[in-house]
Amino acid sequence: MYTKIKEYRARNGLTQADLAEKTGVRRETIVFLEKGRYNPSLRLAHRIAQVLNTTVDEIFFFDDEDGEKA
Amino acid sequence: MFEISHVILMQNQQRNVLILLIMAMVIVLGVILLTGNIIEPDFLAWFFILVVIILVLSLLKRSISRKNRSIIVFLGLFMIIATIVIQLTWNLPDNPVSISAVFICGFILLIWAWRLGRYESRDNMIQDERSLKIGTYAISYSWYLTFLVVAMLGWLAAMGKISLDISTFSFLLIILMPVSACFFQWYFNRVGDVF
Repeated sequence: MYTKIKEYRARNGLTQADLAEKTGVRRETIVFLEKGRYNPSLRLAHRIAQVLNTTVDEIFFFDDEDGEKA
Repeated sequence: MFEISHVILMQNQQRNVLILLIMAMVIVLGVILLTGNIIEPDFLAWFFILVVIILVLSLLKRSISRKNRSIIVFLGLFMIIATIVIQLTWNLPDNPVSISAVFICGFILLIWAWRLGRYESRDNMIQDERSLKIGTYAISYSWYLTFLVVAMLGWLAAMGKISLDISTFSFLLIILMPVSACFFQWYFNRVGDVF
């Protein structure tokens, strides 16, 4: 899984700790998400997309999809 | 939305603690009935360990706060000091496994509290979906490992290679289950997820 969380987070001027606080998760969860090493629940993915002012399919891509690697 | 889901999570945890306490009561009543309604010091020691384990787990499920860590330290010190006092003052016939078990459990609690203290300044105090998932899988893997160990011990005992009394066997399981759960939790936390 690839994500564009890092890119969107930078666009919104948020740190990993800020995003973690706004979404109610640990900072290390955001770290693993950005590295593509954690598959979030639909609820968390939706929450992250909301905080980053985008949609879920704009920031999360799976290996068999045509998404740009973050 | 996050606050509502957090409240639901807390309610579920309280319900789970209640289920654990009911199970503990059933175990205690079962032991009393099976031992002919006689409450012996060994029984009290095992009962005390059971209560402490449930209490510590319920505290940690609520939150890994400084207050809860202090309670764990207090329980650990109490268990260690109590066993030392009992060993020095009581005239015990031999060295019962239950007394050693209380001492080792107290020691484990102190190490656990110290380990939790190392993470106090970080955001590890929060329980999020990843930590809960990892915790659940760690307990599941611990259960599988314990099952394999029990099967192996049963096999060796059936072949006459080893002979374990029930106290040693119970003590082995009491130590193996939480220690292996902690190990798997640490491992999955390093990996990032459970795939």
